[in-house]
Amino acid sequence: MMDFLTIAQAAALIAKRALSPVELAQQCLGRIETLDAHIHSFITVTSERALDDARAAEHRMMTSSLKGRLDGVPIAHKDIFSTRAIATTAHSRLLEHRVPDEDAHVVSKLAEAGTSMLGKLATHEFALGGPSFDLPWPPARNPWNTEHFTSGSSSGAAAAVAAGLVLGATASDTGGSIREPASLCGVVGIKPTYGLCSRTGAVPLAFSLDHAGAIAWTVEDCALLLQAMAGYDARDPASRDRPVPDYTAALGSSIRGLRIGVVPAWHETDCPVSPAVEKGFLQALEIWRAQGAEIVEITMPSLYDYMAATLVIMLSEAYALHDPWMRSRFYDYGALFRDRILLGGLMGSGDYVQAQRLRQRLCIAMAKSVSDIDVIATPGAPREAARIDAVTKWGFLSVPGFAKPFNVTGWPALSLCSGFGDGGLPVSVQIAAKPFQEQLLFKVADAFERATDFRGSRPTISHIS
Amino acid sequence: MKEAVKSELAVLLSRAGVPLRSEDMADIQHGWELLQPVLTRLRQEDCDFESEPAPIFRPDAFDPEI
Repeated sequence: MMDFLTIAQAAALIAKRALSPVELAQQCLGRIETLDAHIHSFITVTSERALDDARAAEHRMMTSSLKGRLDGVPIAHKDIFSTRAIATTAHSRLLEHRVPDEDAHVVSKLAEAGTSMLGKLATHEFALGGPSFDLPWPPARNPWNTEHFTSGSSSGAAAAVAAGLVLGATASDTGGSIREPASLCGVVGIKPTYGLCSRTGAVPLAFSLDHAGAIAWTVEDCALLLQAMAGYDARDPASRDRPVPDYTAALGSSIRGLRIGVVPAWHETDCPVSPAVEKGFLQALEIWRAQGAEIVEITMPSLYDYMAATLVIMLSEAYALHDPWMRSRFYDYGALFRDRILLGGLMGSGDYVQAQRLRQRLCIAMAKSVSDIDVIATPGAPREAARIDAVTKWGFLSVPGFAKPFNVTGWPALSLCSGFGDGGLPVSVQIAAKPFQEQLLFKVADAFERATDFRGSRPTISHIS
Repeated sequence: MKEAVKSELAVLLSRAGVPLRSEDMADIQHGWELLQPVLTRLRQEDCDFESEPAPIFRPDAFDPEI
Protein backbone atom coordinates (compact mmCIF):
# COMPACT_ATOMS: atom_id res chain seq x y z
CA MET A 1 0.00 0.00 0.00
CA MET A 2 2.84 2.39 0.74
CA ASP A 3 4.48 1.93 -2.66
CA PHE A 4 4.97 5.19 -4.52
CA LEU A 5 3.03 7.50 -2.29
CA THR A 6 3.13 11.15 -3.18
CA ILE A 7 3.82 13.69 -0.46
CA ALA A 8 0.17 14.74 -0.50
CA GLN A 9 -1.01 11.13 -0.18
CA ALA A 10 1.43 10.37 2.63
CA ALA A 11 0.41 13.55 4.45
CA ALA A 12 -3.25 12.62 4.26
CA LEU A 13 -2.57 9.15 5.65
CA ILE A 14 -0.31 10.45 8.42
CA ALA A 15 -2.95 13.01 9.39
CA LYS A 16 -5.42 10.12 9.80
CA ARG A 17 -2.84 8.02 11.72
CA ALA A 18 -3.17 5.49 8.89
CA LEU A 19 0.52 5.60 8.00
CA SER A 20 3.51 5.37 10.30
CA PRO A 21 6.26 7.88 9.47
CA VAL A 22 8.76 5.34 10.82
CA GLU A 23 7.50 2.61 8.52
CA LEU A 24 7.50 5.04 5.61
CA ALA A 25 11.12 6.01 6.31
CA GLN A 26 12.08 2.36 6.67
CA GLN A 27 10.46 1.54 3.37
CA CYS A 28 12.38 4.32 1.61
CA LEU A 29 15.63 3.20 3.22
CA GLY A 30 14.90 -0.35 2.05
CA ARG A 31 14.32 0.87 -1.48
CA ILE A 32 17.58 2.82 -1.37
CA GLU A 33 19.37 -0.33 -0.19
CA THR A 34 17.86 -2.37 -3.03
CA LEU A 35 17.98 0.06 -5.94
CA ASP A 36 20.58 2.74 -5.44
CA ALA A 37 23.47 0.51 -6.46
CA HIS A 38 21.99 0.81 -9.96
CA ILE A 39 21.07 4.50 -9.87
CA HIS A 40 23.79 6.07 -7.71
CA SER A 41 21.50 8.87 -6.65
CA PHE A 42 22.85 9.09 -3.09
CA ILE A 43 26.28 10.19 -1.89
CA THR A 44 25.43 9.71 1.77
CA VAL A 45 22.53 7.81 3.30
CA THR A 46 21.66 9.03 6.81
CA SER A 47 19.62 6.08 8.09
CA GLU A 48 19.89 6.89 11.78
CA ARG A 49 18.99 10.52 11.25
CA ALA A 50 16.05 9.53 9.07
CA LEU A 51 14.67 7.17 11.69
CA ASP A 52 15.21 9.68 14.50
CA ASP A 53 13.31 12.29 12.48
CA ALA A 54 10.57 9.79 11.68
CA ARG A 55 10.19 8.72 15.31
CA ALA A 56 9.79 12.36 16.32
CA ALA A 57 7.16 12.80 13.61
CA GLU A 58 5.40 9.67 14.75
CA HIS A 59 5.28 11.00 18.29
CA ARG A 60 3.70 14.21 17.01
CA MET A 61 1.23 12.17 14.98
CA MET A 62 0.20 10.19 18.06
CA THR A 63 -0.11 13.34 20.17
CA SER A 64 -2.08 15.29 17.56
CA SER A 65 0.68 17.86 17.22
CA LEU A 66 1.74 17.43 13.60
CA LYS A 67 3.53 20.47 12.19
CA GLY A 68 1.85 20.33 8.80
CA ARG A 69 1.68 18.32 5.60
CA LEU A 70 5.41 17.67 5.40
CA ASP A 71 5.62 16.19 8.89
CA GLY A 72 7.02 12.67 8.64
CA VAL A 73 7.70 12.91 4.89
CA PRO A 74 11.02 11.35 3.79
CA ILE A 75 13.15 13.67 1.68
CA ALA A 76 16.82 14.15 0.81
CA HIS A 77 19.02 17.11 -0.03
CA LYS A 78 21.22 17.86 -3.00
CA ASP A 79 24.76 17.65 -1.69
CA ILE A 80 25.45 21.33 -2.19
CA PHE A 81 23.15 22.22 0.73
CA SER A 82 24.97 22.23 4.04
CA THR A 83 23.83 19.77 6.67
CA ARG A 84 25.09 20.10 10.22
CA ALA A 85 27.48 17.27 11.21
CA ILE A 86 26.86 15.51 7.89
CA ALA A 87 29.35 15.70 5.02
CA THR A 88 28.45 18.20 2.29
CA THR A 89 30.74 17.58 -0.64
CA ALA A 90 29.26 19.25 -3.73
CA HIS A 91 30.24 15.91 -5.30
CA SER A 92 33.85 17.09 -5.39
CA ARG A 93 37.11 15.65 -4.20
CA LEU A 94 37.99 19.14 -2.97
CA LEU A 95 35.18 19.06 -0.39
CA GLU A 96 35.18 15.30 0.21
CA HIS A 97 35.74 15.65 3.96
CA ARG A 98 33.87 18.90 4.57
CA VAL A 99 31.42 18.64 7.47
CA PRO A 100 29.45 21.86 8.05
CA ASP A 101 28.53 23.02 11.53
CA GLU A 102 25.13 24.36 10.55
CA ASP A 103 22.30 23.58 8.17
CA ALA A 104 21.61 25.53 5.00
CA HIS A 105 18.59 27.79 5.34
CA VAL A 106 16.31 25.61 3.21
CA VAL A 107 17.49 22.45 5.00
CA SER A 108 16.66 24.06 8.30
CA LYS A 109 13.22 25.14 7.11
CA LEU A 110 12.36 21.66 5.84
CA ALA A 111 13.56 20.14 9.12
CA GLU A 112 11.33 22.59 11.00
CA ALA A 113 8.45 21.37 8.85
CA GLY A 114 9.02 17.87 10.23
CA THR A 115 10.56 16.08 7.25
CA SER A 116 12.68 12.98 7.72
CA MET A 117 16.11 13.43 6.14
CA LEU A 118 17.27 10.32 4.30
CA GLY A 119 20.60 11.67 3.07
CA LYS A 120 22.55 13.68 0.56
CA LEU A 121 22.07 13.39 -3.16
CA ALA A 122 24.45 13.24 -6.09
CA THR A 123 25.02 16.35 -8.15
CA HIS A 124 27.46 17.32 -10.83
CA GLU A 125 30.71 18.60 -9.37
CA PHE A 126 29.98 21.99 -7.82
CA ALA A 127 26.62 21.85 -9.64
CA LEU A 128 28.15 22.12 -13.11
CA GLY A 129 29.22 19.68 -15.75
CA GLY A 130 28.78 15.97 -15.70
CA PRO A 131 28.40 13.15 -16.15
CA SER A 132 31.85 12.70 -14.61
CA PHE A 133 33.51 9.34 -14.03
CA ASP A 134 36.67 10.72 -12.40
CA LEU A 135 35.16 11.84 -9.08
CA PRO A 136 35.01 10.01 -5.73
CA TRP A 137 31.37 9.07 -6.45
CA PRO A 138 29.83 7.88 -9.73
CA PRO A 139 27.28 9.99 -11.59
CA ALA A 140 23.59 9.34 -11.01
CA ARG A 141 21.88 7.30 -13.70
CA ASN A 142 18.45 7.68 -15.22
CA PRO A 143 16.01 5.23 -13.57
CA TRP A 144 14.03 4.94 -16.82
CA ASN A 145 17.13 3.42 -18.42
CA THR A 146 20.34 3.31 -16.43
CA GLU A 147 22.41 3.47 -19.61
CA HIS A 148 21.10 7.00 -20.08
CA PHE A 149 21.93 10.39 -18.62
CA THR A 150 19.89 12.18 -15.96
CA SER A 151 21.12 15.62 -17.00
CA GLY A 152 21.98 17.80 -14.08
CA SER A 153 23.12 19.12 -11.90
CA SER A 154 20.29 18.05 -9.59
CA SER A 155 20.82 14.58 -10.98
CA GLY A 156 20.50 12.59 -7.77
CA ALA A 157 17.37 14.48 -6.76
CA ALA A 158 15.58 13.75 -10.03
CA ALA A 159 16.72 10.11 -10.15
CA ALA A 160 15.82 9.39 -6.52
CA VAL A 161 12.35 10.92 -6.83
CA ALA A 162 11.65 9.11 -10.11
CA ALA A 163 12.67 5.76 -8.62
CA GLY A 164 10.57 6.33 -5.53
CA LEU A 165 13.54 6.36 -3.14
CA VAL A 166 12.39 9.66 -1.64
CA LEU A 167 9.16 11.61 -1.90
CA GLY A 168 10.85 14.93 -2.55
CA ALA A 169 14.21 16.63 -2.67
CA THR A 170 15.92 19.97 -2.56
CA ALA A 171 17.63 21.05 -5.75
CA SER A 172 19.34 24.06 -7.29
CA ASP A 173 19.27 25.69 -10.70
CA THR A 174 21.85 28.07 -12.21
CA GLY A 175 21.30 27.34 -15.91
CA GLY A 176 18.63 24.63 -15.89
CA SER A 177 19.91 22.33 -13.14
CA ILE A 178 16.48 21.63 -11.64
CA ARG A 179 14.32 21.62 -14.75
CA GLU A 180 16.58 19.63 -17.08
CA PRO A 181 17.07 16.58 -14.83
CA ALA A 182 13.40 16.77 -13.84
CA SER A 183 12.59 16.69 -17.56
CA LEU A 184 14.81 13.74 -18.41
CA CYS A 185 13.74 11.74 -15.36
CA GLY A 186 10.01 12.38 -15.77
CA VAL A 187 9.43 14.26 -12.52
CA VAL A 188 8.41 17.81 -11.59
CA GLY A 189 11.00 20.49 -10.89
CA ILE A 190 10.32 24.02 -9.64
CA LYS A 191 12.89 26.79 -9.95
CA PRO A 192 11.25 29.62 -8.06
CA THR A 193 11.78 33.33 -8.54
CA TYR A 194 15.32 34.52 -7.80
CA GLY A 195 15.33 35.57 -4.15
CA LEU A 196 12.30 33.53 -3.04
CA CYS A 197 14.35 30.73 -1.44
CA SER A 198 17.53 31.53 0.43
CA ARG A 199 20.89 30.20 -0.82
CA THR A 200 22.53 30.60 2.60
CA GLY A 201 24.51 27.45 3.26
CA ALA A 202 24.45 26.31 -0.36
CA VAL A 203 27.77 25.87 -2.12
CA PRO A 204 27.53 28.58 -4.78
CA LEU A 205 28.15 28.16 -8.49
CA ALA A 206 27.30 31.65 -9.78
CA PHE A 207 25.85 34.09 -7.26
CA SER A 208 23.66 36.08 -9.61
CA LEU A 209 22.10 33.02 -11.26
CA ASP A 210 21.84 30.47 -8.42
CA HIS A 211 18.34 29.47 -7.33
CA ALA A 212 17.29 26.97 -4.64
CA GLY A 213 14.21 24.90 -5.49
CA ALA A 214 12.66 21.48 -5.33
CA ILE A 215 11.93 18.27 -7.21
CA ALA A 216 9.02 15.90 -6.54
CA TRP A 217 6.72 13.46 -8.33
CA THR A 218 3.75 15.80 -8.69
CA VAL A 219 3.02 19.50 -9.03
CA GLU A 220 1.20 19.53 -5.71
CA ASP A 221 4.19 17.95 -3.98
CA CYS A 222 6.48 20.63 -5.39
CA ALA A 223 4.08 23.27 -4.10
CA LEU A 224 4.18 21.71 -0.63
CA LEU A 225 7.98 21.64 -0.59
CA LEU A 226 8.25 25.22 -1.83
CA GLN A 227 5.79 26.33 0.82
CA ALA A 228 8.25 25.25 3.49
CA MET A 229 11.39 26.47 1.69
CA ALA A 230 10.30 29.98 0.68
CA GLY A 231 10.82 32.99 2.87
CA TYR A 232 13.10 35.86 3.72
CA ASP A 233 16.62 35.31 5.00
CA ALA A 234 18.70 38.32 5.93
CA ARG A 235 21.90 36.34 5.32
CA ASP A 236 21.22 35.97 1.60
CA PRO A 237 21.66 39.39 -0.08
CA ALA A 238 19.30 38.31 -2.88
CA SER A 239 16.51 37.23 -0.52
CA ARG A 240 13.27 39.16 -0.88
CA ASP A 241 11.21 40.11 2.15
CA ARG A 242 7.63 39.60 1.03
CA PRO A 243 4.67 37.46 2.11
CA VAL A 244 4.65 33.83 0.98
CA PRO A 245 1.23 32.89 -0.44
CA ASP A 246 -0.42 29.48 -0.12
CA TYR A 247 0.97 27.65 -3.15
CA THR A 248 -1.64 24.89 -3.02
CA ALA A 249 -4.62 27.23 -2.73
CA ALA A 250 -5.32 27.50 -6.45
CA LEU A 251 -4.65 23.88 -7.37
CA GLY A 252 -7.60 22.28 -9.10
CA SER A 253 -9.25 25.58 -9.97
CA SER A 254 -10.16 26.59 -13.51
CA ILE A 255 -7.62 28.08 -15.87
CA ARG A 256 -10.39 29.46 -18.10
CA GLY A 257 -9.45 32.83 -19.51
CA LEU A 258 -5.73 32.56 -18.79
CA ARG A 259 -3.44 33.62 -21.61
CA ILE A 260 -0.56 31.23 -22.28
CA GLY A 261 2.24 32.61 -24.44
CA VAL A 262 4.30 30.41 -26.75
CA VAL A 263 7.42 31.47 -28.66
CA PRO A 264 7.39 29.50 -31.93
CA ALA A 265 10.87 30.66 -32.98
CA TRP A 266 12.39 29.10 -29.90
CA HIS A 267 11.47 25.49 -30.65
CA GLU A 268 11.12 25.78 -34.43
CA THR A 269 14.36 27.62 -35.20
CA ASP A 270 16.66 28.27 -32.24
CA CYS A 271 16.41 24.87 -30.58
CA PRO A 272 14.61 22.18 -32.61
CA VAL A 273 13.07 19.42 -30.54
CA SER A 274 12.56 15.69 -31.01
CA PRO A 275 9.24 14.41 -32.39
CA ALA A 276 8.17 13.14 -28.96
CA VAL A 277 8.96 16.45 -27.29
CA GLU A 278 7.03 18.31 -29.97
CA LYS A 279 4.07 15.94 -29.62
CA GLY A 280 4.02 16.38 -25.84
CA PHE A 281 4.25 20.15 -26.14
CA LEU A 282 1.45 20.41 -28.69
CA GLN A 283 -0.69 18.07 -26.61
CA ALA A 284 -0.16 20.28 -23.57
CA LEU A 285 -1.25 23.34 -25.52
CA GLU A 286 -4.32 21.47 -26.74
CA ILE A 287 -5.26 20.42 -23.21
CA TRP A 288 -4.92 23.95 -21.85
CA ARG A 289 -6.93 25.29 -24.79
CA ALA A 290 -9.67 22.73 -24.08
CA GLN A 291 -9.65 23.82 -20.44
CA GLY A 292 -10.45 27.37 -21.52
CA ALA A 293 -7.04 29.01 -21.74
CA GLU A 294 -6.06 31.09 -24.73
CA ILE A 295 -2.83 30.16 -26.50
CA VAL A 296 -1.06 33.26 -27.82
CA GLU A 297 2.00 33.37 -30.04
CA ILE A 298 4.59 35.90 -28.87
CA THR A 299 8.09 36.95 -29.87
CA MET A 300 11.17 37.04 -27.68
CA PRO A 301 14.88 37.58 -28.19
CA SER A 302 16.75 34.56 -29.50
CA LEU A 303 17.54 31.69 -27.15
CA TYR A 304 21.15 32.23 -28.20
CA ASP A 305 21.09 35.66 -26.57
CA TYR A 306 19.85 34.16 -23.32
CA MET A 307 22.47 31.43 -23.61
CA ALA A 308 25.27 33.92 -24.22
CA ALA A 309 24.38 36.01 -21.19
CA THR A 310 23.93 32.95 -18.97
CA LEU A 311 27.12 31.17 -19.98
CA VAL A 312 29.40 34.18 -19.69
CA ILE A 313 27.97 35.24 -16.33
CA MET A 314 27.97 31.67 -15.01
CA LEU A 315 31.49 30.79 -16.12
CA SER A 316 32.89 34.13 -14.96
CA GLU A 317 31.29 34.04 -11.52
CA ALA A 318 32.18 30.36 -11.06
CA TYR A 319 35.77 31.00 -12.06
CA ALA A 320 36.06 33.90 -9.63
CA LEU A 321 34.96 31.58 -6.82
CA HIS A 322 37.36 28.80 -7.80
CA ASP A 323 40.33 30.89 -8.93
CA PRO A 324 42.61 30.03 -5.96
CA TRP A 325 41.99 26.29 -6.27
CA MET A 326 42.23 26.41 -10.04
CA ARG A 327 45.79 27.66 -9.57
CA SER A 328 46.77 25.31 -6.75
CA ARG A 329 44.63 22.16 -7.12
CA PHE A 330 43.69 22.14 -10.79
CA TYR A 331 43.93 18.41 -11.27
CA ASP A 332 42.00 17.60 -8.09
CA TYR A 333 38.86 18.71 -9.91
CA GLY A 334 37.10 16.40 -12.33
CA ALA A 335 37.98 17.14 -15.93
CA LEU A 336 34.52 18.32 -16.97
CA PHE A 337 34.15 20.94 -14.25
CA ARG A 338 37.69 22.29 -14.35
CA ASP A 339 37.89 22.50 -18.13
CA ARG A 340 34.49 24.12 -18.49
CA ILE A 341 34.99 26.84 -15.89
CA LEU A 342 38.54 27.43 -17.08
CA LEU A 343 36.91 29.19 -20.02
CA GLY A 344 35.58 31.70 -17.50
CA GLY A 345 39.15 32.49 -16.48
CA LEU A 346 40.14 33.20 -20.05
CA MET A 347 37.43 35.74 -20.84
CA GLY A 348 37.94 39.45 -20.38
CA SER A 349 36.31 41.67 -17.78
CA GLY A 350 34.49 43.39 -20.63
CA ASP A 351 32.81 40.13 -21.54
CA TYR A 352 31.31 39.80 -18.07
CA VAL A 353 30.06 43.39 -18.04
CA GLN A 354 28.63 43.08 -21.54
CA ALA A 355 26.84 39.90 -20.46
CA GLN A 356 25.28 41.78 -17.54
CA ARG A 357 24.26 44.60 -19.86
CA LEU A 358 22.72 42.08 -22.24
CA ARG A 359 21.00 40.51 -19.27
CA GLN A 360 19.27 43.78 -18.46
CA ARG A 361 18.06 44.15 -22.05
CA LEU A 362 16.80 40.55 -22.07
CA CYS A 363 14.87 41.13 -18.83
CA ILE A 364 13.23 44.23 -20.30
CA ALA A 365 12.41 42.44 -23.56
CA MET A 366 10.78 39.51 -21.78
CA ALA A 367 8.69 41.79 -19.57
CA LYS A 368 7.48 43.73 -22.63
CA SER A 369 6.68 40.56 -24.59
CA VAL A 370 4.42 39.15 -21.92
CA SER A 371 2.74 42.29 -20.63
CA ASP A 372 -0.69 40.81 -21.44
CA ILE A 373 0.27 37.15 -20.94
CA ASP A 374 -0.18 35.09 -17.76
CA VAL A 375 2.33 32.29 -18.29
CA ILE A 376 4.83 31.20 -20.95
CA ALA A 377 4.92 27.59 -22.17
CA THR A 378 7.93 25.99 -23.88
CA PRO A 379 9.17 22.45 -24.40
CA GLY A 380 11.24 21.21 -21.45
CA ALA A 381 14.46 19.49 -22.50
CA PRO A 382 14.85 19.48 -26.32
CA ARG A 383 14.96 15.69 -26.55
CA GLU A 384 14.95 12.47 -24.58
CA ALA A 385 17.93 11.59 -22.39
CA ALA A 386 21.13 10.74 -24.29
CA ARG A 387 23.18 7.71 -23.44
CA ILE A 388 25.36 8.54 -20.47
CA ASP A 389 28.52 7.74 -22.45
CA ALA A 390 27.50 10.01 -25.34
CA VAL A 391 27.50 13.34 -23.49
CA THR A 392 30.34 15.57 -24.66
CA LYS A 393 32.35 18.11 -22.70
CA TRP A 394 31.59 21.05 -24.95
CA GLY A 395 28.05 20.33 -26.10
CA PHE A 396 26.70 22.91 -23.64
CA LEU A 397 28.28 25.68 -25.72
CA SER A 398 26.15 25.04 -28.79
CA VAL A 399 22.68 23.89 -27.64
CA PRO A 400 20.80 26.79 -26.03
CA GLY A 401 17.95 24.80 -24.42
CA PHE A 402 14.83 26.38 -22.96
CA ALA A 403 15.86 26.81 -19.33
CA LYS A 404 18.32 29.71 -19.40
CA PRO A 405 15.90 32.56 -20.19
CA PHE A 406 14.45 32.07 -16.74
CA ASN A 407 17.80 32.02 -14.97
CA VAL A 408 18.91 35.26 -16.60
CA THR A 409 15.61 36.98 -15.81
CA GLY A 410 15.09 35.22 -12.48
CA TRP A 411 11.49 34.39 -13.42
CA PRO A 412 9.96 31.24 -11.88
CA ALA A 413 9.77 28.18 -14.11
CA LEU A 414 8.63 24.60 -13.69
CA SER A 415 9.04 21.50 -15.83
CA LEU A 416 6.81 18.46 -15.80
CA CYS A 417 6.37 15.23 -17.72
CA SER A 418 4.41 15.50 -20.98
CA GLY A 419 4.77 11.94 -22.22
CA PHE A 420 7.31 9.33 -23.25
CA GLY A 421 9.47 9.10 -26.35
CA ASP A 422 12.23 6.93 -27.72
CA GLY A 423 12.84 3.88 -25.56
CA GLY A 424 10.14 4.91 -23.11
CA LEU A 425 12.21 7.86 -21.94
CA PRO A 426 10.28 10.85 -20.55
CA VAL A 427 9.74 14.14 -22.35
CA SER A 428 8.55 17.35 -20.77
CA VAL A 429 7.01 20.78 -21.00
CA GLN A 430 8.14 23.92 -19.19
CA ILE A 431 5.92 26.69 -17.83
CA ALA A 432 7.24 30.07 -16.67
CA ALA A 433 5.55 33.05 -15.05
CA LYS A 434 6.29 36.59 -13.98
CA PRO A 435 8.30 37.09 -10.78
CA PHE A 436 6.68 35.70 -7.63
CA GLN A 437 3.76 34.20 -9.60
CA GLU A 438 4.54 30.64 -8.49
CA GLN A 439 0.93 30.14 -7.44
CA LEU A 440 -0.20 30.65 -11.03
CA LEU A 441 2.57 28.40 -12.30
CA PHE A 442 1.44 25.54 -10.08
CA LYS A 443 -2.19 26.06 -11.07
CA VAL A 444 -1.50 25.76 -14.82
CA ALA A 445 0.88 22.83 -14.39
CA ASP A 446 -1.57 21.04 -12.11
CA ALA A 447 -4.37 21.48 -14.66
CA PHE A 448 -2.24 19.66 -17.24
CA GLU A 449 -1.12 16.97 -14.83
CA ARG A 450 -4.68 16.19 -13.75
CA ALA A 451 -5.79 15.89 -17.39
CA THR A 452 -3.13 13.29 -18.24
CA ASP A 453 -2.14 9.90 -16.86
CA PHE A 454 1.62 10.32 -16.96
CA ARG A 455 1.81 10.09 -13.14
CA GLY A 456 0.62 6.51 -13.42
CA SER A 457 3.93 5.19 -14.79
CA ARG A 458 7.09 4.64 -12.80
CA PRO A 459 10.44 3.41 -14.13
CA THR A 460 10.57 -0.38 -14.41
CA ILE A 461 13.58 -0.54 -12.11
CA SER A 462 11.58 1.03 -9.31
CA HIS A 463 9.38 -2.08 -9.14
CA ILE A 464 12.31 -4.31 -8.14
CA SER A 465 11.99 -5.41 -4.54
CA MET B 1 44.26 30.44 -37.73
CA LYS B 2 44.64 27.53 -35.37
CA GLU B 3 48.18 28.70 -34.55
CA ALA B 4 46.92 32.20 -33.82
CA VAL B 5 44.29 30.82 -31.46
CA LYS B 6 46.90 28.63 -29.84
CA SER B 7 49.20 31.60 -29.24
CA GLU B 8 46.36 33.72 -27.86
CA LEU B 9 45.29 30.87 -25.62
CA ALA B 10 48.82 30.39 -24.29
CA VAL B 11 48.90 34.05 -23.21
CA LEU B 12 45.48 33.82 -21.56
CA LEU B 13 46.40 30.62 -19.73
CA SER B 14 49.62 32.16 -18.53
CA ARG B 15 47.71 35.13 -17.17
CA ALA B 16 45.23 32.80 -15.45
CA GLY B 17 48.10 30.95 -13.77
CA VAL B 18 46.52 27.53 -14.26
CA PRO B 19 48.98 24.61 -14.41
CA LEU B 20 47.49 23.07 -17.55
CA ARG B 21 49.43 20.09 -18.90
CA SER B 22 50.50 20.41 -22.49
CA GLU B 23 48.58 17.27 -23.47
CA ASP B 24 45.35 18.94 -22.31
CA MET B 25 45.90 22.10 -24.35
CA ALA B 26 44.19 20.91 -27.55
CA ASP B 27 40.96 20.09 -25.74
CA ILE B 28 40.81 23.50 -24.04
CA GLN B 29 41.58 25.14 -27.37
CA HIS B 30 38.60 23.31 -28.87
CA GLY B 31 36.33 24.63 -26.12
CA TRP B 32 37.74 28.14 -26.46
CA GLU B 33 37.02 28.09 -30.20
CA LEU B 34 33.44 26.95 -29.58
CA LEU B 35 33.00 29.79 -27.09
CA GLN B 36 33.96 32.48 -29.59
CA PRO B 37 30.51 32.76 -31.25
CA VAL B 38 29.02 33.22 -27.79
CA LEU B 39 31.42 36.06 -27.00
CA THR B 40 30.92 37.61 -30.43
CA ARG B 41 27.18 37.72 -29.77
CA LEU B 42 27.84 39.80 -26.65
CA ARG B 43 30.39 42.08 -28.22
CA GLN B 44 28.52 42.98 -31.39
CA GLU B 45 25.69 44.74 -29.57
CA ASP B 46 25.83 48.49 -29.84
CA CYS B 47 25.26 49.46 -26.22
CA ASP B 48 24.61 53.08 -25.33
CA PHE B 49 26.06 54.75 -22.25
CA GLU B 50 22.72 54.53 -20.46
CA SER B 51 22.60 50.74 -20.70
CA GLU B 52 23.59 49.67 -17.20
CA PRO B 53 24.50 46.10 -16.36
CA ALA B 54 21.92 44.03 -14.48
CA PRO B 55 23.72 43.94 -11.08
CA ILE B 56 23.14 47.56 -10.14
CA PHE B 57 24.87 48.49 -6.90
CA ARG B 58 22.62 49.56 -4.01
CA PRO B 59 24.56 51.40 -1.31
CA ASP B 60 22.16 50.41 1.46
CA ALA B 61 22.09 46.71 0.62
CA PHE B 62 24.86 45.69 2.96
CA ASP B 63 24.28 48.06 5.87
CA PRO B 64 22.93 46.09 8.85
CA GLU B 65 21.53 49.31 10.34
CA ILE B 66 19.17 49.88 7.41
